[in-house]
Amino acid sequence: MNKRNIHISLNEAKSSAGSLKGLDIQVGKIKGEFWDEKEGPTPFPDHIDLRNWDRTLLARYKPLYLPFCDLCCLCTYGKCDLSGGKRGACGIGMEAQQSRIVLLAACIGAATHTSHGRHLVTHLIGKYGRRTPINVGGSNVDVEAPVIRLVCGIKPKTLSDLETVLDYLESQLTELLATAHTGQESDPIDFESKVFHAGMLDHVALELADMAQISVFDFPKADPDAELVKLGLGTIDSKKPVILVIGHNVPPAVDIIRYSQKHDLSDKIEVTGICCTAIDLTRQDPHAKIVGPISWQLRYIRSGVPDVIVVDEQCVRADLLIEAGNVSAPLIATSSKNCAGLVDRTLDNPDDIISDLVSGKVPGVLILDPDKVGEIAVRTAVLVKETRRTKKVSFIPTDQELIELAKRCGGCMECTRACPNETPIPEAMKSAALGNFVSLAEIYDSCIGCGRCEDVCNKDIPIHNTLVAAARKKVISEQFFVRAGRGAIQDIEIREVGGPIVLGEIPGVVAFVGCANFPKGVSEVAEMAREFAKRRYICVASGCSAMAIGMYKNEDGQTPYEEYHGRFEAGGIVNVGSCVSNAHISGAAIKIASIFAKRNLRGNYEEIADYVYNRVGAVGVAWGAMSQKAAAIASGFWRLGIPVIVGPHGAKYRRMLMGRKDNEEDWYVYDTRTGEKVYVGPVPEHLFITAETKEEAMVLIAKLCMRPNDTSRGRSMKLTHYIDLYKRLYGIMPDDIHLYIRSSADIPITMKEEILPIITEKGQSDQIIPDPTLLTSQIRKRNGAK
Amino acid sequence: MADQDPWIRSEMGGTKQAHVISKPEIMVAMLKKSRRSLVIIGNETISGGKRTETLIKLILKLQNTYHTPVLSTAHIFGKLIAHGIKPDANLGSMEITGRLCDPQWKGLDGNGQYDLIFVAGFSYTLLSLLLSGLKQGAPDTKVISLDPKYHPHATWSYPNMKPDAWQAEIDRFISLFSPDNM
Repeated sequence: MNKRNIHISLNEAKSSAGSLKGLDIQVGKIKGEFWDEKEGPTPFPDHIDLRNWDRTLLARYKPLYLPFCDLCCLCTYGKCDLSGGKRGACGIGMEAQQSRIVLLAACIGAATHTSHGRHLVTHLIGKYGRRTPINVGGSNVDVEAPVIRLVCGIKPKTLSDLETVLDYLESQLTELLATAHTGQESDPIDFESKVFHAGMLDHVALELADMAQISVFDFPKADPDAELVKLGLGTIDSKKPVILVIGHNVPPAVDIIRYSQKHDLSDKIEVTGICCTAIDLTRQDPHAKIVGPISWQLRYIRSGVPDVIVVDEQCVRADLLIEAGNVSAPLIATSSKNCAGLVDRTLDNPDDIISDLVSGKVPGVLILDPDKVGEIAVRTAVLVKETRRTKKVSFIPTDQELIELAKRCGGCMECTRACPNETPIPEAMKSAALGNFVSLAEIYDSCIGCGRCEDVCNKDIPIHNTLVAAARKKVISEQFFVRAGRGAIQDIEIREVGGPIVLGEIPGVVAFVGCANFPKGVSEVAEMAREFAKRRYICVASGCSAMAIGMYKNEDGQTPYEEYHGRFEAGGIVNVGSCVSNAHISGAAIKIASIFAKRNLRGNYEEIADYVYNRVGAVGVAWGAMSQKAAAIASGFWRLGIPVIVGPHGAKYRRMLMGRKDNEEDWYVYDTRTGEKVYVGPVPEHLFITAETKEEAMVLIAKLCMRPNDTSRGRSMKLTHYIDLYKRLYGIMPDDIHLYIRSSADIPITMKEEILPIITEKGQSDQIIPDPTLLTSQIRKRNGAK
Repeated sequence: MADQDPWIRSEMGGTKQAHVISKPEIMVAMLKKSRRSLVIIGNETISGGKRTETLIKLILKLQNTYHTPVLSTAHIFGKLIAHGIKPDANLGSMEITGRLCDPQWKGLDGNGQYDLIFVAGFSYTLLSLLLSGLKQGAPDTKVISLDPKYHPHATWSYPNMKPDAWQAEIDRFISLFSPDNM
């Protein structure tokens, strides 16, 4: 893509005879400037450029569709019944329709990150200038933009360079979205391939957005020792004016911090956050506090603690203006993507806006200038704190009120039927009516804070509030730590672990990512992360899952971030940051190919994805994935050949990508040394799968970390973990061990006695360990290739 | 609560809704007609209480009387053994759904696909999706949901029932098990 830009910048131009200073004229972008790496075959690829790679993966990992219903409702031909092999009026079948829905989700997700990236870059260029250098880790990070290098084939140096990347993303996403129109794409596998493309674009957008904000703000720059920051409702000093920020776009929150610092108010107000803005807020200022994941919105606001609520974009509840109004907390919307029906007061005098908010004349305002948000949020919080003292601002019932509310419950079960986790609320209400709150407090742990129970209660019981009231002691004790998002992984870290990962001697990289739609509360994520850190995997985390890991204490009262180090090496729990920081996880896998294996990244997607797929034992776990963004993030991992496991609610993405270990013919690779086809077993067995339980997920994690390239020592270590977890959690030996043992050297030494008879019974013969590839282009020497 | 509303009301199925199991003779007739049946049980089978007790009793009877193979999902294999059930296989719920949608799959014993599936012990939303996958991907396979909540995507499903009523229905079903009904 050759983008031509004209950019003239005149800094001082005096009279006719006068001088001209700092003239800066650019015409277009020079591709590959200062970069002598050979360009690969697919810089700025279209979907078609990588279609063959996608189809190679999709031939192995076939989609299983799980439709919500029998219908397609997308156009006025319909509704069309697609059940039982019927086709819609447009000719589409059920499989194509489902893959089309998956594509729409991935496009929404990728568009959201791209739009966020555009918003950030435009804002930062306006404030700091186009030539602001990209800096994600100083001299510790030479490969600063692995995803952009790989996909776009450019090495961005300044914020301005990111605009070229954004132009590419926007044009590609428009094309992908167009293919979902009635009468366009018809083949499910081509839809799936486009899903992969959307995912790949998404990771470019993620990287771009985080690079921009890391470069400009005071975020940790690839710092494994980033500070521990406070997390939890119990950490907040409600005596001070409290500001709550929610969403993903951090500039307004940064300007809140800066305004309070400038006016010497830092110690006098509390700046708190929910969701990724909270994570990025604490990257800027470690004294700010994270309340919790997105599911903490209702419980925190209804506690009456936040005096002002500032929302930006993504994952913000759509009813926050109502909720904020109920507790007399003014709401400031700061993004054109989420105007909340409020009047745009961006150009108004701050004094007038503050007066209107404090007096309650308006419930909220839309302000699109982050600087102004900073001033108005802080000043309003200070003033409104006083006016709120005289009002009822907490809706969490007292114990006596709770008993009275519980007595109203008629046991109709509608709340349980509306609850995503089918929690036994009526039963717990029965006990609460007698003064026993234990069961209600237990439900608090698995509550995802959606509030659907209240909407269906025919006795108007504010059920969510009763859960919080019952769990009052737990809420107060929510005092945890999470390590601030460190950003990128340093090159030296990659250099040190690249070999052990590729050879299998570090058994895997496990990424805990995504939202908070957990089936049984936050603790399961922490339990999984601790288990794998203890087993010397590298655990990485981001977003709400990074918070969930922090909301746990061991027997010594330590959170996992205190218990385990933050370096990208065996036994670490590494918080990379917010949603957009997920690119550092895919980026780390790509950097292994670049830094450890010396492969060219530049516009060389297929080769690098093939490398990652066959060699880097990484697995994503999105235990509470909820959003379209999470779908796009997962899709980006799939195209790189990195499997993703989701929790039971993740089945609602309506499509799995699973291999079949019982089909031997599916598991052959080429040996690049000879061109021969070699059976390598089902590694990794799946690309996208739902686990019913945490235990199943843990066994899957261990299994899906296996790769064809594992050395015998590495495979033996990976098998040790797989078998050990399976035996412990399932209570039996796995029945597929023979598929992963290529020769007796692969057998874990401590398990030889148990395993040898199994192998003998299955009649397993020794197999070679190839230099694996799925691509004929990677075969160095053809020697009797079949 | 209406018997034939989906338990989670938004899981509405579509044009083809499950028949309600009004009497256990229906299932016995289907068992007799079936060439290859399979029981699939999910992690909530061992969630405790009446549900576990009832399902364990039923599965043991199905295994012993009809020799119906049992497949457990998730991590419950060992726990089922403790309850006296030795499942014939263990696979993830998605994995077995995928295989049942493949007409070429040879089954757990290598003798071919199944034509009758009993399912139980899953969370409602997950089972709803698994049943939908089977309804679309294995349209010739009859799927009977044994959980006490109405599942529109099944071929046959119990209606929404209180635990005692459901337990009584399962007991009636078990009471019909006999060599004559094979």
